[in-house]
Amino acid sequence: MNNPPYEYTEVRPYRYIFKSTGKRTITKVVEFTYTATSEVYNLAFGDLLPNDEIDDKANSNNGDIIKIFATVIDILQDFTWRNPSFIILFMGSTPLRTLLYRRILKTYYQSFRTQFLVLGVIATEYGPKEVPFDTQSTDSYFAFLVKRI
Amino acid sequence: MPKKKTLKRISKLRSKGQKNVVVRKVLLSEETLFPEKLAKANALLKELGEIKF
Repeated sequence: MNNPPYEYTEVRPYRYIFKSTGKRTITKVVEFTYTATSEVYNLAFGDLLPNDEIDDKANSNNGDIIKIFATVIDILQDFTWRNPSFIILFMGSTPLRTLLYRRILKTYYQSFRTQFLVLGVIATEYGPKEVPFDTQSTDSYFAFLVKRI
Repeated sequence: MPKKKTLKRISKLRSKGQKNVVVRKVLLSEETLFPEKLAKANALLKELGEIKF
């Protein structure tokens, strides 16, 4: 989490934007949405397209992925700092994106674990189950839950 | 023409020095911009039940 993030703006409660300025300029949106489960918010992230649609599956390949994720982590820190009791759920819109989230968590885990408790969600024969996130695990996590310590 | 509330919010953002931020109306919508993801999240949370850290 030592990479400098982009500057971001909270345009309305729980919704942030920033501009990815790699090969092209792309507006990114990060949103925390209240779920049906008390205190759990879903973190969603995607590109704002010129036609005002949101694309959360795009691989924009803008050459600045490290900076983009540094910004999303910065926003997550800001949001949970202001709402420390909230649990944040996030999962990739594609299996590849989920794998990417796992790699990012693994990369930053030593720093992340000092601020957050992290769970991974795995599929079992009895249905999905949350387990402590383990950087060495071979489990296939398909979602993640984080909470401020 | 954007609603008065929308214009007020844009004005507030610009007064904070964010003059280059073009705030599009869609971003100010009260509806989630990620309804599919929210539906997936709710379905997963229902299956998980109580979350134990």
